[in-house]
Amino acid sequence: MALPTSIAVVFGFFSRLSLRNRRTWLLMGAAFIPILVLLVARAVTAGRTGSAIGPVLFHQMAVPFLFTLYIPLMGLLGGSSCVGDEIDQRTLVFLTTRPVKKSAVLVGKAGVQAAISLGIVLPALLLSFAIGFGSFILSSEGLARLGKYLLAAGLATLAYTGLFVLLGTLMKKPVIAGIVYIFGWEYVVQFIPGSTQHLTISHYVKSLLPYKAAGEGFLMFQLEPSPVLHAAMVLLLLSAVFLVLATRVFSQKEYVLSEPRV
Amino acid sequence: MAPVLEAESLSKWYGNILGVSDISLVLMPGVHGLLGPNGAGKTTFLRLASGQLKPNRGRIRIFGEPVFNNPGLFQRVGFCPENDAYYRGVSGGDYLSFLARLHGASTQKARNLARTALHQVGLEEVAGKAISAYSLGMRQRLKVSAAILHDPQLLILDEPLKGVDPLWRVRITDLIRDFASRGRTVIVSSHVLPEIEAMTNRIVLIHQGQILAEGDIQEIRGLLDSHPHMVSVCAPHFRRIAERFVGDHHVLTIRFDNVRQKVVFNTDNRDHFFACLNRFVVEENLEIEEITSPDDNLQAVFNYLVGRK
Repeated sequence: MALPTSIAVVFGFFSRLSLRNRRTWLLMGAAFIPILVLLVARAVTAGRTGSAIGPVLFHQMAVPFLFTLYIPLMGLLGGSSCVGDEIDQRTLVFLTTRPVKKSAVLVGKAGVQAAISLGIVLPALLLSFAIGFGSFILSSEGLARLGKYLLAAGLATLAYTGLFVLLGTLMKKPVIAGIVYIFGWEYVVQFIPGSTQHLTISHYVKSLLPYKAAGEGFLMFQLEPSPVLHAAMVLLLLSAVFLVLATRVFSQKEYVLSEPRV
Repeated sequence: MAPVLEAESLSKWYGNILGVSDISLVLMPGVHGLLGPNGAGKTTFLRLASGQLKPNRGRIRIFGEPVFNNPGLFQRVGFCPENDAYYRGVSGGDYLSFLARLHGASTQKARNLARTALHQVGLEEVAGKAISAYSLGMRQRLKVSAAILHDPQLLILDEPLKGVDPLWRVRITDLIRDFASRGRTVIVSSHVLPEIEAMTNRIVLIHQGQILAEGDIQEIRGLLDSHPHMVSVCAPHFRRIAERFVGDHHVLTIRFDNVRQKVVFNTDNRDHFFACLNRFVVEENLEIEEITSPDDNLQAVFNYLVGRK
């Protein structure tokens, strides 16, 4: 069977399976936390003239929540589950004893995770922006700014998913390494002078954001951001490289599904 | 005639635990029983034969081709793993349709293949039910149907009758024999000699990761006949089953396990015992949850053979 067809078959089956999974719905619920907060804030400040609580909350709460917490964690849980779930549930054998390339299996499963993440993150961001900014979204400037946020979220989702799919193929317990990366490396590195920041995904994601936080919190920039086009290309390239490496590892590596009972 | 499977000095270990050691084996078309006690190396050998594991030393080929990372080969090979694993939230019909699609079938053809395969193992009526709602025996039958779905030339079955009720044991045995009668090859593992004996008289005895003996079943059969055999039956009405065996000269002891709703028989004639058990189950329409044969006695025979070697 041709590779694209195999990928499509795997994608179709696992997307249906994921939509029935409770974890997917829990993650979807979590993505709407900033929306709820924004709605409450808007309701409380309704009728007050000159209130700019919406944009402030969007920049200081919704954006950090989605870009520094939700998207990386979604990538970690979704990406690492591509192989991890198959090993934990001992179902990998059902896929590897069929006439499909292992790379098709992995790409199909990674595609499902990326699609689900995008399907949650982008609407959540869009709604947050719409609630935070109100009618500004209808202006050309508002649309352009929203487009930049959506682009950053989309590329961040792909890059984090790719990275954690790769970790999932390499490690038995990728979640611990992933958490160390997200909350350790990415956080600490932003305070290290020099070009070390370029060794994180978050640097390129932040470089795509149209609004920079005023020198505090997770989105602080110690260095100049990379140019937008450069950042976008790097994120795309990283996503592709992570996925190619993951397929190579997955194809060659032997996975022992249970304790050896020889 | 070309061999179906060739293993040359095949060794596999997990860290410092030995899986199989220096196995050399050539299997021609037909049914081959892989017999050995738990932990003998049967599952490791079948995992190597199905490309799930890479050998540490030696090589294994099927239809003259290497197995690991050779997906094209699985158009001709069907594999039923030992693990009781399944995708949650999916029905048996959808699961088999998906597998058929992986074999290149169109959506409609995949549905037809799934329906046929489910019919062969008596699951067509529960095709739309979630697999998680199936009993252990039904899940086992589903795995068998997944292995035969694409009508492979080689069928590799790891303990396919584990947890299956007596009636379906007979039907799956017939299915395997029928499959082989069409010129196909079956490699089936078990630690229960009568199961293998019902399918073939060609056996490979495996013990402590090595091939102990290979060939006709009669010789090992004779050895086993002189050893008492233990059979454990788990059923809601286990006392009624026990009642039917009281006074049977071939049943040496009967032991109850009230907590697990189980009765354990010790018999000196397995054939007679299983024939009676099957008859009682059908006559009284008894529900059986599990039949197992603890392999202590088979182990004793293996120890005897090892000593003899």
